[in-house]
Amino acid sequence: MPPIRALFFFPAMLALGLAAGCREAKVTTYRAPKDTAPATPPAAASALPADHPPIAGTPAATSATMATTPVPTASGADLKWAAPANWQLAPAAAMRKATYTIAGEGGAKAELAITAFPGDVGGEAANLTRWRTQLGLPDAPAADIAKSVTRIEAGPLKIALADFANDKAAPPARLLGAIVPAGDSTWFFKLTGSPALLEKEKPAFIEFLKTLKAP
Amino acid sequence: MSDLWNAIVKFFTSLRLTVVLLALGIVLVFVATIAQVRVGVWGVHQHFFHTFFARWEMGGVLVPVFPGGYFIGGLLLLNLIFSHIYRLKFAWKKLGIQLAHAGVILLLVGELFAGLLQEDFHMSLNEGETRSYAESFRDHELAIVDTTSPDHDEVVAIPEALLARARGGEIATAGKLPFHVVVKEYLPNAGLGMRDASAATPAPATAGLGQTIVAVPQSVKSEGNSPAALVELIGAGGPLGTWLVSAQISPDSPAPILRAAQSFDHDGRRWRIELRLRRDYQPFAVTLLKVTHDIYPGTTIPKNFSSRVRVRANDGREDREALIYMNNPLRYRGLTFYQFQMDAANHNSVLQVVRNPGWTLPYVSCALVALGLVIQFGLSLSRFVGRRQTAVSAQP
Repeated sequence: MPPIRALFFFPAMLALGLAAGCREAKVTTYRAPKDTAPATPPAAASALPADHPPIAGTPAATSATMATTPVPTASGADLKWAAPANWQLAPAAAMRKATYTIAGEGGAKAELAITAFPGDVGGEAANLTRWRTQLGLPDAPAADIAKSVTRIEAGPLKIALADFANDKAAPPARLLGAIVPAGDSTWFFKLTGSPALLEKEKPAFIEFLKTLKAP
Repeated sequence: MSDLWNAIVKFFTSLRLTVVLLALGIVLVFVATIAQVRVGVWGVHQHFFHTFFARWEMGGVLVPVFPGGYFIGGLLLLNLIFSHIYRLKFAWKKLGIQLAHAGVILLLVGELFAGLLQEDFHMSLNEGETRSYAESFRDHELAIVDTTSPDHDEVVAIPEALLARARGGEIATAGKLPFHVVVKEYLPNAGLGMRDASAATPAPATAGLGQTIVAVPQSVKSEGNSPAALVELIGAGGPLGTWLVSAQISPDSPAPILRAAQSFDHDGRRWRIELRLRRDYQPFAVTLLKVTHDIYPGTTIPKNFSSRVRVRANDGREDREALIYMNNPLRYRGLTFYQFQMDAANHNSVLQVVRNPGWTLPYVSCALVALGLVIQFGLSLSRFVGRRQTAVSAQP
């Protein structure tokens, strides 16, 4: 018969097995603090610096997989515009029709990202909510959000210009965004950066929007 | 019975078994190292080590081809325990060997603990950002969040495994939500594309982004997947709508269209529905104060990556700063925060967050082995010196 002392490890094995079994998937409820939106474009956040050795045994490719997901951009003829001379055209980037960088005093910077997608892309309200989320602003009723929108016309183009600011963010954030339905597509002009610089550039941005021309 | 037990004891106390198992272990580690190039570190863990039989992909099917880590490690553990009990009779003069043996047993048990109980997460922070949760590297959850309160969210989190199980049926939320949750479709890995507006059939989703975006099934990959699902919510008065949820619809998405939160109103409350990486909330918050990426002067060779963080407990009992860099993790409340990835140009740092209840076991076992060896060699030395003195004093 097995000696009693040989059995001491079986309860330990059983405890381990039970501990592993306790991790069964189940629905959980909890109270959590409000989410804060990412302050910088997170697409680049997953990459290791050049020459960095791999650090740990976990998959790092999740974000890269997402970044390569095919989301078609609008095809067909593009809108035309005339940009102010102090706006610097940046090299072409994926998903974007164009990017401009604006340099201000004391190293202040702003960036205008121009994108276009087929259809109405969820509609004006959903996209305004998305921009608010990016600034870390709380969810708000559509009627309140609509109050931040100015309507501009550039020929046949109807432009919705939104101005959102989050002074409580660190650093404070501001976004000037224009949504322009054109043909079967919707164009987005998003100007982000130093709030002071955006305040200075806002008249130029409105003039820029007025130069938009349908093809 | 006695004969059978004797045969078992003989088998498990055999030194030959130890040698065979060690040889198999060497082969397993070698093959797994080669396979890592193809299937990645996580795949190697799953296919070679955290399994009883190592599996090799043949024609798209994983076929068991070799004893796996649990098999070899488990037998080695039994081998050690049986030897410990039956070969090493306890005697004070063998205390060192006993301790060293116990240390190795503890090391193997520690690895088993880690394999069964360790959980890995990551926490991505921009400078100045504060988070009180870490995210899984690969597990997802459907979160239905009541965002009505301006101060906090009430979250109901449904693990991805339940979505897969409930495909085509309802998830039992047991009164946690004021509506029923029906999983109309679940895709373990899916890309997203714009829906063809001229398509004859209506969009499967009736609310949110799913009206303009469609999920396209993709093959399941071992290095990580991006699931999607069509979820219908049904209230007391009828269906509220069907939403397309996807891990790619997130504020972190590189595609602007996918950053919108999918919100809706029901019964005077505001809700948000999202499929996201599984979150692990903590009773404390971590703020990234500064990322540092030093290189050797005149080169692009990295010298140092570090993240200065501030840790604040919700109960106010702790508020301190810590510097996390390679080989210098922060240990706090059962979690270990390692420097994992960094994007210094965008002031972003990613910390790997590990919960391993048995993290002290390797240290304890190494200390036991070291103590055992010191005692054993000390005893041998004292015996040797004693014999030598006897021999010297016996000389004429």
